[in-house]
This record gives sequence, structure tokens and C-alpha cells, in this order.
Amino acid sequence: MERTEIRESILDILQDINEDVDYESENKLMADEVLDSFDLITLASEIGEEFDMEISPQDIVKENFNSVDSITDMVMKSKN
Amino acid sequence: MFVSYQFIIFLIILLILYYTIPKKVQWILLLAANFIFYAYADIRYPVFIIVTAAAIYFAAVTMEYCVNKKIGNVKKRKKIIMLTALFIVLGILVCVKYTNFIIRNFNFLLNETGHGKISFVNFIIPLGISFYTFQGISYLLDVYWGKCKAQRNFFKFLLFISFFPQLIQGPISRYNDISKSLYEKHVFNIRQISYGVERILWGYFKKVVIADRIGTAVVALSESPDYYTGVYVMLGMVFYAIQLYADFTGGIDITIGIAQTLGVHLKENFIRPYFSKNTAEYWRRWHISMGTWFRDYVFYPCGTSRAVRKIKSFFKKRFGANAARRVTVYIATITVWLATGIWHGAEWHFVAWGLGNGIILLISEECAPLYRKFHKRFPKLAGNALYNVFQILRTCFLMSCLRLFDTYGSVRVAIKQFIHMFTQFGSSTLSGKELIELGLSFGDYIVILSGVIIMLAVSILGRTGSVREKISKKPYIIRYLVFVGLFFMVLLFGAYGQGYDVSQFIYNQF
Repeated sequence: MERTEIRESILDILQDINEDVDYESENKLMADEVLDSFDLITLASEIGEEFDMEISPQDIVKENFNSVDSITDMVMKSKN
Repeated sequence: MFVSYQFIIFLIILLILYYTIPKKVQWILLLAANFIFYAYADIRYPVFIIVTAAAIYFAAVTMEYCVNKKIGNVKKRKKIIMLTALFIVLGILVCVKYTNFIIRNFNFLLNETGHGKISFVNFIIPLGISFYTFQGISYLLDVYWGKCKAQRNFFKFLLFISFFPQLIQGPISRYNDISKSLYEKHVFNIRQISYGVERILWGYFKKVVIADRIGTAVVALSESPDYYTGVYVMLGMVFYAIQLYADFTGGIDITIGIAQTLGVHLKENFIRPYFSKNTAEYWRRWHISMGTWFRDYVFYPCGTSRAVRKIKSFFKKRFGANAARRVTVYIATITVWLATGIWHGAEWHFVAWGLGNGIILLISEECAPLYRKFHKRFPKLAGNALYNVFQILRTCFLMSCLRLFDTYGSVRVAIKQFIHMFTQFGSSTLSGKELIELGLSFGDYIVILSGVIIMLAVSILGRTGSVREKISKKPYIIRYLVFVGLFFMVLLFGAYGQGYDVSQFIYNQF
């Protein structure tokens, strides 16, 4: 899967969780609690299922979940 | 224990020694102080904390050793070591805190089927066992996950687990947050000491002037639920909300203040919780260290576990993707709130309280898209002061309703009183005479009201930055008056004497 494809899929998941957020410009999704713990656990679970990867509790940190790009990086890293 | 002459003398002696001995041994003195404090409460308590600390210490060091030396299947070994330590420390907690609860429920079943009963066990429950066990578990899991390095010095680790200011009622600190300030050398800093002492005084004010005084009326209202119905249930809810806030935040103020005098920085545990506009926000602002603990060490692990993933895929096949997505949140939320309830105490009313919180949060989550649509339709409402007040009052009311379980200490009575609040409203009147019968004089009510106004003013001031910093910028005379005023208010208006137990905090029991 290409990076752009992964990014698009993540954006779709995020839109399903809350369509009112501008994910392209937002880069503090976790730090500013744009995504709360319910959103984060849903997101982690959906990403795990979509990309067939295991997201552990220690992965749910700002560095991985603050923006679409950081989430994409996390998925790419697990794929490699 | 914090509100006694003995403790004040203990703290003064500790501070004098702390800042006069060589700085490299300050942490050793602090460790000794922890054990004097703990053993003073009960000579047997230290044994429990040492066993818990040893189990976690050895597990952490061994896990790190396995990683460094790459021994066998590191992941598997680490997991076994972590689970063994978890089993030991949770086993101790369950044994001393929950055995009699289990026996009581077992006896209930035996009684129903006519099979005799089991005798209760006389365990001592070490002071603050829930707090230090949770603090230890957070360290254990952080080392397991590679979030922090294992502490090689057992005594330094013991200091982290047993740091006396937070032993009684938290906050539940993380190793990475406080270890540096616990072990580093501290020079005498008058500003830091005076900040700490003022914070302690502010805590004493909330505790002995407000919480202990209003506690008399809360006891009177909760002890006679058949007599105090209707409007009195609501009055009890308001009184208990004040008492709990003043008692718990007061206790945490004292804790943070003591730590500050010792140069140790503890994180804030409350951010004006009664100004929250919804329940999720309330739980992000009330007892923050507990909320984040359950989020990081129960909610996320549960939601990302293999078992939940399997249940989710089962639901997806049977009920579709939409239902499956909810499953993760539902299971994790109910698990975390059941655990939060039972952590507060070995009683069914705590379980009901926890479950109630979980259900309200899930209902709010389900309604979130509706709220968003509503706010899109009425965009000006979000900035409307009246609507904000409505949201704040609604959240306070919901939280107070759930606290009825705690106030009455019984699921049945709490539900009955909740219904009575609406159905027997007309049969009870609120008069001056009946208010006095709650055990408080007119003067007490004036003191409480004044105290609540001061707390409210400080909370409102705190919205735009630290109140302490604001006071420090005022002229010397104002700072002096605040300091002396607080001291004399605690001395003159504190609820002391017969019928008051200043040594106890509500959160001690948890």
C-alpha cells in the first residue's frame, strides 16, 4: 500500500469518528484533546483492523496520534 | 493525619534537618521520614509497602536485564515477569481490601441456599494501599512498555512508592514526573517554602473550616433518609458536593504544599471540576491522576487487547461495522468504570456509582452527533453565558445524583432517595428551624457560606492563571494579610472538638 493510500484510509476513519474536524490543518489532535479517549480507542481499533496491525497501549501517544501524518507514519513504520 | 499538632511538629523537624544535612543524603532522610510517618500510623504498615515495592522493583530490573542481554524470547519473558509482579501486588490489595467483601457476598448466597456461613477475616488495611499499589503498577507497566528506565537502587525506588505526602490520598504520580525532583539535591529556597506553606494553609482552610463543618449536616441528612426526603435530598446533594470538594481538594492542596516545601513538584489533581460543561470534561478535571491512570493502564490496554479485537470481529460479522466499532468503546468503558468503582471501596454502592458514570458517559457519546447537529443549528449558543451556566449546572446535578450512592452508602436507599427527591418534594419544607436541626448553628452556616464564596472566588480567579502568582505580585502588606488571614481563619473558624474528626479525609478510605 502506498503512503497516499494509507493516508486517505486514515482520513476516512477520522471523518467517520468526527466529521467536523479539519484534519488537514490540525496537528494537535491528541495534545489539544480534539480527539478524546473514546475517539482514540476507536481510531486505534479501526486502524488496527484496516491495516492488519497491532496497536498497543504504549503506541497511543501524542507523537503517533497528533496529526494525520503522524498516524500515517506510525502505520508505515509498522508495515516496514 | 495531616491535620494534627504532631504532624506539624514532624514536618518542621523534617524541614530543618532536610535543609541542614548534606544535600546528597536528603533523599535518604526523606525515605526515613516516610517510614516514620507510616509506622506512626501502624507499626505493621511498612511491611506491606516494602513487599509491594520489592515485587515491582525486582520485576522492573529483571525485565530490563532481559532486554539488555536479549535473553531468550524477550517479549514473552518480559510479559511473564510483569504479570507475576502484577499478580503479587494486586493479590495483596485484593486480599486485604476485598476478602471480606467476597466473603459477605458468598455468605449471602450460602444463606439463600441454607448452607451456613464463612467467618470474616481480620486483615489490617494499610493506609493508602490503593494509592501506592497503583503508583507502583504505573511504574511497572511503564518499564514494561519501555516508557521509563528501571531504577537500580531499591531504596530510591522505595522512596518513590512511599513518598509520605501522597500516601494518604494521592495524587497517583508517575515515575517520570517526580523521580528527578525526589532524588535531586535541594537548596533552601524561601519562596518555595512560603509557597508551600501557603498552599498547606489553603488546604487546611478548605478541610477544617468548610469540609469538616458541613460534614455534620451531611451525616445528619444521610443517617435519616426516611425523615429527610424531598428537598432535603437535594440539599444533601449540594452539601455533599461542597464537603467532598473542600475535603479532597483541601487534602491535595496540603499534599502538594508539603511536597513543595521539600522541593518536590507534584502535578495538579483538580482543574476547577465544578465548572465542567459535560461529564467527560468533569472526569478530565476531577482527580486527574486517577482518571489518567485508569485511561492509560486499563482503558487503552483493554480497548486494544486481543480479546476485545476478537469480540469486535464477531460483532462485525453478526451486526455490521457500525455496531462493531461501538463494541470496543463499550467494553473498555464499562470495564474501566467497574474497576474505578471497586477501587473506591469494597461495597456494591461503589460498583453502582462506577457503572452509573460509565453509562452516562456512553449515553453522552451516543448523543455526541446530535449535540454537534444542534450546535450547528444554533451556533451562537456555545458562547452564550446563560447556556454555559445551564451546562455547568446540568453536569453538577448529574454528578451529584451519582454521589447519592456514596452519601447513603446503599444502592437501594440511594435509588429510593433519588425518586423521593421528585415525588415527595411537597411534603418537606425547608425552614430555618429544620436547618438548625441538622447540627449546624446560624454562625456555622455563615462560616460555610463565606468559605464557599472564597473558594468560588479563588476558582474564578484561577481561570486566568495561578492565583498564588497573582498574590505574589501584590504589595508586601497584602501578601502578609492573606497569609496571616488564612492562618487565623484556620485557627478561629476550624471545626475542632467533640463530633469532629479532623484527622480523617474522605479519600483515606479509598
